[in-house]
Amino acid sequence: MGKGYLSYSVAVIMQALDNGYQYGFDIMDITGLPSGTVYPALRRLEEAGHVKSKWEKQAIAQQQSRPPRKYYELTREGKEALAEALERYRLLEQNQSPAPRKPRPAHE
Amino acid sequence: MERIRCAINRIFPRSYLWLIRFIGLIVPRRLRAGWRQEWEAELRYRETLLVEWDNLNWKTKLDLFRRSLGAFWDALWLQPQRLEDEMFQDFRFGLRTMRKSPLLTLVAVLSLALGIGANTAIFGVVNALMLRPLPYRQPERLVKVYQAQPDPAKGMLPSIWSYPRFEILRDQSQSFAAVAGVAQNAYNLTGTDNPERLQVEMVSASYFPLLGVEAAVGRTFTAEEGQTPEANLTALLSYGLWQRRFGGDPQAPGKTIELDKHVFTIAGVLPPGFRGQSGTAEVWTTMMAAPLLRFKRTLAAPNNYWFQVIARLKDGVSPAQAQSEMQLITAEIEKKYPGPKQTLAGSAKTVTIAPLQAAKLDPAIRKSFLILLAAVGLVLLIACANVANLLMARAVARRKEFALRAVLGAGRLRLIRQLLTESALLALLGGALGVLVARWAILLLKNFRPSDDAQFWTSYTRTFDFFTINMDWRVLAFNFALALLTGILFGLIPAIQSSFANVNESLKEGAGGSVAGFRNLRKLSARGLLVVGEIALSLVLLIGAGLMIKSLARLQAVNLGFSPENVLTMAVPSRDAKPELYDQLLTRVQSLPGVEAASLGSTAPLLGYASKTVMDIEGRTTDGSIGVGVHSVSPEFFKTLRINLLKGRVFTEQDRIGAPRVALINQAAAERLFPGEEPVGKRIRPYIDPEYQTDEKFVEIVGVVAGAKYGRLEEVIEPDIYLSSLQPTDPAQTLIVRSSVDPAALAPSVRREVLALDKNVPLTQIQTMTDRAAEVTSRTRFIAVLLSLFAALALLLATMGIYSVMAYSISARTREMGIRIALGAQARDVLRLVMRDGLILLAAGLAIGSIAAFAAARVLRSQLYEVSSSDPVTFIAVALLLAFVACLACYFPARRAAKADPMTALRCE
Repeated sequence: MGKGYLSYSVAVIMQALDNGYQYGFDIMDITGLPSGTVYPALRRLEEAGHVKSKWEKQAIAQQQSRPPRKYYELTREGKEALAEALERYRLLEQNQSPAPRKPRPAHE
Repeated sequence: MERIRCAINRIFPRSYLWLIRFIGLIVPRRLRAGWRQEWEAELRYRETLLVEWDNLNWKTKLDLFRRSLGAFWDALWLQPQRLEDEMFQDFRFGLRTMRKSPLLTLVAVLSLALGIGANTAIFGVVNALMLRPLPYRQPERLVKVYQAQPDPAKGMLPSIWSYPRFEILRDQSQSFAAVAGVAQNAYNLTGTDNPERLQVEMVSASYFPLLGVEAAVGRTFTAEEGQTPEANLTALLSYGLWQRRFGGDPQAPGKTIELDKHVFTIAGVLPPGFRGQSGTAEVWTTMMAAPLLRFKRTLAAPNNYWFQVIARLKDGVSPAQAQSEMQLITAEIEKKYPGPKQTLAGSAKTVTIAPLQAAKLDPAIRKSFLILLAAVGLVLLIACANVANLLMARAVARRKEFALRAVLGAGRLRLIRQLLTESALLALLGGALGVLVARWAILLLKNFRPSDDAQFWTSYTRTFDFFTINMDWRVLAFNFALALLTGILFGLIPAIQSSFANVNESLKEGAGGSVAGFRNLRKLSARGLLVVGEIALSLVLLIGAGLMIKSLARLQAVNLGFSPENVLTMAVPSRDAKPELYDQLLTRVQSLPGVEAASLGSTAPLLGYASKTVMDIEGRTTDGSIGVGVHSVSPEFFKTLRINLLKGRVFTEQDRIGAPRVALINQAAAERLFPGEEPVGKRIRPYIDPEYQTDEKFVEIVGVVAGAKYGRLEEVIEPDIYLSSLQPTDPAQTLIVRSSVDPAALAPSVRREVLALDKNVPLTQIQTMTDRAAEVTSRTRFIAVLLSLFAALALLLATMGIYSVMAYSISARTREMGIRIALGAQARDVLRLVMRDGLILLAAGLAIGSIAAFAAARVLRSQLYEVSSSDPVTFIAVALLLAFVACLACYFPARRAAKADPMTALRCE
């Protein structure tokens, strides 16, 4: 996945990540994209080095008696690619930009 | 509504979690756990949230279900990783297996490298000869236009035109976008201190636009330069000549060069690599220079044939349409210049077109390379059989491993894939090494290449340069495809066989089980078949090589009619030098130390004919069917070459201008022109076209000499007539020297003498007669050497195959042998028993191979000289050789078996 070749939906996903939505399901909620789009996109982004993933702390998961979740964040390259993509999809910022919010400290 | 919710809850209690588990099955194992965890954690977290928000109802549950369905796309996206994963595993495992048996790997990779490399090299030549398009614009639209139908069987292609006839073609044909004449001749570069003989291509002005070749510096010819005879004399230089003579000076256009003392203005320099139709030209002039460089009436004489014609088809005109238009052109030419409807060689004078690419290739050369490609293909087949054999032997040894894997759940396809990966790995390694082998082999081919001059019709078909053979993408693609194909070819049989192995049996058996020899009779016989095939294929190659070697020996033993040892020939060409120059040169050369005899001739034996014509005999009507070679020679010619005088006398110094004109004929001429008559005293003269008014006198025959070969060795000696060069006749500018020392060492002192006499005369084409004799047989030698090389390789591989099968079957029967010896069998009995198996394979291979060779050798027929393609001596000798080597390969393992210590043999399990 070279720079400048981010599709619109991938750019939307990256913007969601940038705005602090770090889990697959949250990204689906905020972007309205189906899971069959979001997850493959995340895998591709990870392969391309735009995104890295980590597992949630075991303790938090245990409290809720479920397995640890996986969360994603943009790498430096990812941020650059996003900035470039935003140039191309100017409308994205104006129309679709979700309000920034603080990441929930679920994984800390 | 409530009921539906209950039903959903009952039927899908957290059904999405099950769905994830189920979809997870198709995720590659390596990623599966993490994948499942991610989805499960996400779904359960969302579930918890929904419970917190008191919003977990059937609607939100359905939404979760929908989301988990998306996991399927996610899983699908991960599929390619599965293949990479397992392939990587197969590869790693394959590499490890290869490292574990280095000897087998080495043998397999080396034999494949040799096989694939040799194929790649020969394919490289075939590619350069036949496949690679000519380096011109739209080369497929280029055609050669023959004045008469070409006769490939004769080799000589009657393609030359006279200018007036060419003008009809050029001006009246509608099928061509452009038509151009091309003639190549050698001329002296004069006006310098260092004269040089240059190959000059005389062309129509349309030649370069027609080909799509543009000047690298300056320009090519303008239309005006191609219009008026003897005016606007310009020349183009090859890139190499420009570098050599002008130091690459960009100001060279505008300067002049002299060809045979005629001044040409340089118009431009052609791009590097362009050397004209022959691949040897260095200077180009327009055909308008022909009256100066040839003779005055060159452009006006309708019966003076001297150049070839190429053309570019108009867009939309098919070759067939163009050919049908040529009927009209033929009729038009016929009408304006009536004459014989056949050429001297007997071809019908019908204008014929052929694709330029095909026309540039000597059919004989093409055939020899196709034969070599087939031969080298056989070598590769043998190499494949050999590697398959080795792999099968190893597959037997690995039976336990495969059984174990099968028990642990590996499918048959998985096992076959593992084995194919291993064999593809071997083949690709072999292919990679094969590229190196091919590089090296191409270098070798370039050194051993058949000489371009070998066949005497040089400038018409010598077109491709061996040095342009290189590894382009076609060759590399061929190499890669070949490697993959061989990998599958030799890998498939062992792979399928071992995947059929009986799991229970294999696991129970001890290593090298005593019964293996019998139990695996089927396997052994498959391997036996491979060996039979190898022997048969080797026999085919060996017989082919044997026939070619015998043919070469016959060719080299041909009676040349003169003695070639210690003879040096040189050309001393000049158009305007006085006869005295040559008289003086001869006297000076004769007095050089080491020179036994020196003479001049218009040509020399093995160098081709100077001219060939029909003879008038005094008091008879002319018989137009006997062509006679006309040679002009100095008195010492026959002494220098040691051509025997059979009757009468040879020329003397007295046979000069003023004395009665005399001639000698060879024996073939005596027999053909004067059957049953005494030729000495008869009078004869070259036939002269009545169109040329001439007072040429008849010449008296004073002697008969033995025939000498001027043309191809394969042809019989044809009638020749010799005229004294001291009387007015064709110029004799070939210097022939017989020396008592190494003849090649004479060249520098001869050159000094020539330069001392006239600094505008170069000394060229310096060659010893023995070198020339080798050159003339070079194509036969080339094929013979290569076929022998391939045959030797085949023999080596087949021997290895026999040895490995014998050694394996014996090691599998060690215990049986032990029992036999313990029960009183003599070593001799065991030896015989074991040898018998090998000899059966050998006999079967020889029988099949003989039949195949009998069929295959027919292809060689056109390459053979005085050897029948079913020559019994060759067949028997080669079969004996193969049998002997194969027996040795059987004998050594058999002897080991016979020497086996019964106690060790019995104890070994």
